[in-house]
Amino acid sequence: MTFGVYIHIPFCLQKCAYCDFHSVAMKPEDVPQREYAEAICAELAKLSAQYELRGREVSTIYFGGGTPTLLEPRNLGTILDALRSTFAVAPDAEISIEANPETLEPRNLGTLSHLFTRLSIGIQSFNDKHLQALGRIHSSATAINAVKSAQSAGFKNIGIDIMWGLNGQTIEELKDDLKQAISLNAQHISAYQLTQEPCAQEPPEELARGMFLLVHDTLTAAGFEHYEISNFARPGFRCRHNEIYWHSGEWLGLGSGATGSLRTGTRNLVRRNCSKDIKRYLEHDFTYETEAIGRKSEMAEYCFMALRTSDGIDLKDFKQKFRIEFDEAYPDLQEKWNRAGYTNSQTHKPTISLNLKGWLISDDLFQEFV
Amino acid sequence: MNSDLIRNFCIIAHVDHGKSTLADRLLEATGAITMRERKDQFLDNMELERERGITIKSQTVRLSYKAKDGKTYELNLIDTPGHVDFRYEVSRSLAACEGALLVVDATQGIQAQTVANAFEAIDHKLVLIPVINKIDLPGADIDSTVKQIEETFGIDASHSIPASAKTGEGIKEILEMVVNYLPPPKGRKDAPLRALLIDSWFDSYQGVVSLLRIMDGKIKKGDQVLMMNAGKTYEALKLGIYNPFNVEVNELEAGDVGYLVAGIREVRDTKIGDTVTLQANPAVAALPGFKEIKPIVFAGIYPTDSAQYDELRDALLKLKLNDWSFTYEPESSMALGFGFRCGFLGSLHLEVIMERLEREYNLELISTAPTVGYQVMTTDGAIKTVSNPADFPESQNIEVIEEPYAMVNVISPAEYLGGIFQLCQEKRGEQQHLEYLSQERIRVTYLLPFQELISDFHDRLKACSKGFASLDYELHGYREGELVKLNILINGDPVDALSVIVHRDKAYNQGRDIVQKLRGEIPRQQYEVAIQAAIGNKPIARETVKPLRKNVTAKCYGGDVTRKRKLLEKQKEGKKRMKMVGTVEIPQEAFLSVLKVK
Repeated sequence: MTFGVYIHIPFCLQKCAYCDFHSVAMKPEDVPQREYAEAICAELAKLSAQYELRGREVSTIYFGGGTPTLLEPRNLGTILDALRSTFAVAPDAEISIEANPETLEPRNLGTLSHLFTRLSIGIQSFNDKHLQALGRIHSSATAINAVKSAQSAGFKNIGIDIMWGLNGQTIEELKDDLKQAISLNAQHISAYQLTQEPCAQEPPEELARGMFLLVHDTLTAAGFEHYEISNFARPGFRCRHNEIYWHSGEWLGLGSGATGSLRTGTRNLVRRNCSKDIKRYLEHDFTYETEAIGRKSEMAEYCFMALRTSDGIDLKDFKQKFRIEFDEAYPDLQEKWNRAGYTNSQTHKPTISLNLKGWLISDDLFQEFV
Repeated sequence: MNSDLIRNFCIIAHVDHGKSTLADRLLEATGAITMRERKDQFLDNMELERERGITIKSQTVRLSYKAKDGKTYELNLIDTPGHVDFRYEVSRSLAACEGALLVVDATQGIQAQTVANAFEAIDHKLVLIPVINKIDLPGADIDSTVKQIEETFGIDASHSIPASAKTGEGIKEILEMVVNYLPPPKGRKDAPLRALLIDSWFDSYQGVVSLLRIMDGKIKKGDQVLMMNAGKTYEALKLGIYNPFNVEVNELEAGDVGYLVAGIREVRDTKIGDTVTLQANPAVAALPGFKEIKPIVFAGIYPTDSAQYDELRDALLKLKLNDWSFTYEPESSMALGFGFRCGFLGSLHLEVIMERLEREYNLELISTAPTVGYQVMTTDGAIKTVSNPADFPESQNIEVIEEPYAMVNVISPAEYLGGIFQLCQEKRGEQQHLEYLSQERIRVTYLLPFQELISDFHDRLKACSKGFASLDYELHGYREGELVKLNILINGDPVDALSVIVHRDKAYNQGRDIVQKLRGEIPRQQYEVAIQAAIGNKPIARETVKPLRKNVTAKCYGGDVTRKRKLLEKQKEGKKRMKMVGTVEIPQEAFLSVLKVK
């Protein structure tokens, strides 16, 4: 089974109103560069010893945030070196880093392209009016330049994030965003509906539905595969690290606020959240909230996460993992969903996957598993 | 005991006028309970009674009181249920007394139940002592309350006692008045035994305990007793009184109030109002006023989770042990599965039972809209009582339908009269009587179909009178009615548990109103839900619940899994009180909303 490492870098130049990931805003010169990288290495040493992870093959590494590119390349390099000396990082490993456009310059992109195989750029919109409303500090021109510079610097696998359902956004504006996104020749596009607190304005249901379908139609027509509810990739360019999450794999989480999911000693799945207290983290005081995932919960998570992907649930894998047939665990469910037209027809191997109709109301459908 | 030293009395009052608090003060003042034992409203045993401020079961207590004349009296305080649904129980308690404290709230004046109970007491020739309660409150108007009492009941109220059950003011005067003003019991000790059965309840150690007022003769431990109306005999195993803790005695004689344990296993074998006599020397005639009480209001009660059926059945069995007036029998509904059709004395009785089932037995229940029992004569001449709209015969097979009526008394400030008229008319009421109790207060009597009364009549009455109107009713026979069954169809299938019986003239409006209400209650689902109302096969109204079109989480990565799972669990929990009917999830509220239509 593939194994991944997630590293959380909780620093940003500015907090965006919509973002609920753990990060604190600070000036670049105030970011505790070396100290944070060292703390990550210390946590790595501690956890790999504690869980006997040394030498384990790692197929994906993902630096997320926050804005990981606020760490200078040499500090990112320090962390990668530590990972390489702890694990057997596969030669073809996917090593990703998230970045905001304003942090990408030809100056650092050259080094980054040597350290990372994949770059994920948070563009969000090509419309300066909407960018401003979101509280982003970059402009669409900066974003376009960042992608082009990254391509010139040698990145062969670039993902861009865009958001839709923005306050007041029209279908035409979204069409324009999609057109620009496609024209950048990125390998991967994540297209999320803006998620806000319930009190904030959300687009009317029919408009949101129309936008979801527009995104699907436009990107698939442009040659992207719609492989997860909010993710599109050119063939061969899915984000392998995220697939670990969606298919209930194991990963180690490092950094303040990071989540990891590991099977310890016994077969029990344990999820661990590292404290969000950065000060204590920098003092190498690593505290966790752990959660033992019971079998029923694990089964539920396995199913609803997998059903977010176009691959869906591999029924053989389900059986092997939980020692029970899917139909026995959730009687009549397949039949019911088939009849209602929420599922794709069977492929060459026994799977269940949701079609667009199913995805659109998936939060309702997923309640069947809990 | 010399019966000249006995006084049997009860307290009659409108809900909330302070009956139970007054009883507590009397218990304290006579030393029956000490301050240490005191919890508010000692006589209201059930948690629910205390919480809702109503007395559901009668209680009684013997107070020993040393009066100013130096003699020690035995005062039997017989507590009465305080709600309209329990009118018969009240009348039996009254029949056991020679006098009553008529408690009236000095800030609110006479209310409908005060009137109903006071007239009942006057009919039973009880001597009344008016107690003007809550005089500690700023709005208290003692003089006008006394005047209201005199005008309404035509009695001399000059001996009224101003009191405050809260502060204890007037309590001593009340006790003296009970001794000096109320007559002692008049029974003949040497006559054959006649004891009035006031109440009974189930005790898991002793079986059924019956509360008796000995009218004539005496009863001794070991006597063979005969229940004159039930026609069954038992041995008197144990006799006793409550002071308020239970004390065994060897005999009870004319004038006494006490309890009897006779190895009776079921409460229904002890009919309230029955006469207990000795088998060896029976009385010639039973005491007057006995009635077989039958439930008038019916509703289906179903477990939300069908796995709780057995638990529900056991819980009903246990409740039934202590509540002779409530009935249940198994029924099944296509929509709700297996459950029970339960009969009640009224809608409050239904609410109390539902609440006890959910609270004391930890059940999740769905109840259908309450309905009255209709007398239906079919074209083949058969007559049957239909207490479930689902069992209503097809209209072409119905010859005559009769529905129960209630005589309803409303007392209200006169300024709300217009609204009350309008409401009663809308509810198919026929005015019988209207009088001014004073310049500002009116009493109006309507003959009203019972079904209209148990729908939202009470809420609407309160709404149109800013809460000032009060209500009392009595069952008043059956009358022929132009009634039809309104079927409710969900996605084309009739849902038996949602069907209602309505008056033909109102069927269209009610049908429209019901489907609109249901549209509001049924959450959006994966499919479009069509809600129709139909008379027979003829649809008369339709509404649509649009399908859920989009409900999807945008981002879900490694750090989001737990939160997502918990959110799904929470959403699912919210659906628990819904019932799957076909492929549609219908919340509990929907089943009751059919009742709340104009």
